[in-house]
Amino acid sequence: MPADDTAIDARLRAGDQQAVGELLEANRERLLRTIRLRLDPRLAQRMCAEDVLQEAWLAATQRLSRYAANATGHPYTWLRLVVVQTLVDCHRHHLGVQQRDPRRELSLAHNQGPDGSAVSAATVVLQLSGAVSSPSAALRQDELRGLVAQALAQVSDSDREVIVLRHFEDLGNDEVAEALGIQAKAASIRYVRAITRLRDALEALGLSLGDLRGR
Amino acid sequence: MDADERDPLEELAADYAERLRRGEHPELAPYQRRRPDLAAEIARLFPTIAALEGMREQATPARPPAAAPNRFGEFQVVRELGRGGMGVVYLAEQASLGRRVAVKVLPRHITGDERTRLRFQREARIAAGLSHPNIIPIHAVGEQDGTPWFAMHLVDGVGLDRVVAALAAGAQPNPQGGGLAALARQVQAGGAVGGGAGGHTLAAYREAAALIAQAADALAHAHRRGVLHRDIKPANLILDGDGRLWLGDFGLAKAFGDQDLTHTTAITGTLQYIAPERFDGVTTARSDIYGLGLALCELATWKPAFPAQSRGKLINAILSSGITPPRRSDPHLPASLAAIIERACARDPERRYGDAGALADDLRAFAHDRPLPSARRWRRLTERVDRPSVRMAALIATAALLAGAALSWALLRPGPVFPLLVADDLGAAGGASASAVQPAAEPVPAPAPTPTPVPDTQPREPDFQPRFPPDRLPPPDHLPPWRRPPLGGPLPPHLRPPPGPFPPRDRPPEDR
Repeated sequence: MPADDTAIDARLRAGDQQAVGELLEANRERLLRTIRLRLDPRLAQRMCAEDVLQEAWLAATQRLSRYAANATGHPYTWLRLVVVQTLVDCHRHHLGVQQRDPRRELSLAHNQGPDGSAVSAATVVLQLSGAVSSPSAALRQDELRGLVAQALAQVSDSDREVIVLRHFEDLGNDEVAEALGIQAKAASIRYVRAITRLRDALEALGLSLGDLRGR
Repeated sequence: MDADERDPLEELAADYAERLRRGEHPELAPYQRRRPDLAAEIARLFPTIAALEGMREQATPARPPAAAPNRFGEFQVVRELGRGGMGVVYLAEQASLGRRVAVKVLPRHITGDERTRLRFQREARIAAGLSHPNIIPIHAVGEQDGTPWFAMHLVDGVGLDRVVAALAAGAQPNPQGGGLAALARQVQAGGAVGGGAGGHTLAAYREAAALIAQAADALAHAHRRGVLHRDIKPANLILDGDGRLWLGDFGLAKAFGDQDLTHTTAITGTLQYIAPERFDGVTTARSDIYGLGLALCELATWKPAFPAQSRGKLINAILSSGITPPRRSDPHLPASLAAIIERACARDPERRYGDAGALADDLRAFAHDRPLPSARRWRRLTERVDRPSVRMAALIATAALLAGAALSWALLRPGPVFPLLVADDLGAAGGASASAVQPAAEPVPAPAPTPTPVPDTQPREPDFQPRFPPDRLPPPDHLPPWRRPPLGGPLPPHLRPPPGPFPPRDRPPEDR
């Protein structure tokens, strides 16, 4: 993976548009998950995650010339930020919503606070507690799913963000740090704190530890 | 990114989550043994992590259906006809004229702001000004609750996308039995269209070419009036039961601007018909020709011009490799039709047909089995001219050819040797060259040794002098040997008919 990253990174620095497409293809599912978790339900009626991803691809190829200046050696984090930024633009364009972080340029150093398009409580409930397609999923699993979604909706935006990044967008600690524009240490502390609060929220909803162990 | 700086509990959690993702069922005890000081934290937090990892299956929320309106202006909705990326189409009735029309309602998400809606109105007015037998006429345009709509002539047909799908599914176009138009009727009626054992026949290729020629005519008409379509694709080419092809939705794409190239589900759904230069924000008449070329390719080969693939790969293919060579999709495809397709779908707009009329000409020529107006040989030559050395060589060769032709014409001509050519050929001094560039209307003194000197005062006459003066005209019966009629005189011995009981039939009796 790091060897891949290095190769893709070098090609992106050289302005290779093909590399953008390959990077996107390799991480397609993760990116779609990123989008779905952040797509406003109102916007979801008008465009699907694939549309956002396609637009992000174009945005990424257009911003490729500026990649080298901002590169951190993690091509995926860069692409993910383009995707998130595209999503913010889509929300603004279609819904006229001013997102929390109105930054236009991709500048990791200045990216403070929650990510460009925060995972809203409503979206989490809608996305994560929705019907499970797998017929093998037990009713109990569905209940658990609903409870966790509810608990996620109750924690703060900042906690929810770091949990989503770690568990639904498959980012490692370093990548989370990069996405949030914070130090690796701060990211790891924030994650542990967020999990602690999520657990408290679950307990407040009446879920005991034993239930969770059973999975 | 120093690992030592990370919260140790987070590091263990990361490992735990990673193993869960791999499908393992890790126990908590090993982690607790590794870090006894964190045992209590592990017991508290890890089950939550397990619960989170158990939720990774995604579900997409269903879209709530929108309520259908029942009238647009004076058009009363009868029923919904279809729904696509560019909106919903209703069958409606115009009471005042007692006619049925199709009303297209545009999705509000692509007509969000006032500026876009105004642009839509303007584009619709321009499109309404187009009048061509292959362009769907627009009757009215309006707005309802902020959603633009327009009413157009109701075409009783189906999109070529469905025709191609039927062909691909095994339907047989039978030129004797009405061909593609009959197939369109069948598709529209929703009847079973499969089962044909036939395949690609020459007649089917010709019919496809003739159909697309109609669309090319429509495009040429619109382009002459400065209107681009911007969204040419099989679904926008409607074939009716009489074999007429209709082109609709002119200017819609323009109305929504280039940014919507990717914003709308509409256009992303038909990404494969977007010309490569449009990704750079450039749209010209040649972009329309490209889209039409793709439609032609699919109608002729019954296969998509680009293989089914993910969007990222598709965009890469559009930009870097171009369409699947049509003869690879269909080995029976005639070479001349393949050449038309490849030229219309060239990635470089400069290599495409310069105007839709030229495409129509080539398609008709193919449909009627005539040589293509734009010969392939010429195309190959012009393609090679891209290389500077070849361009120079071609230039020199052309110049030499022209000079030779001019010189031989001048020398063989019985009239005066035209000084212009002499001056040019011999590369005469500056003074002569200066006079050489004068227009021919200005009389130039002829050189001395001429049988019929041209008087200076008679500027036009010499030009129209008979090539052969009367005293030098050949006799009336002067014809080349191969054109001489076999009259007068007996046939040469080797042509004489063999003697026999019957008189030779090929000679008039009086000649015997």
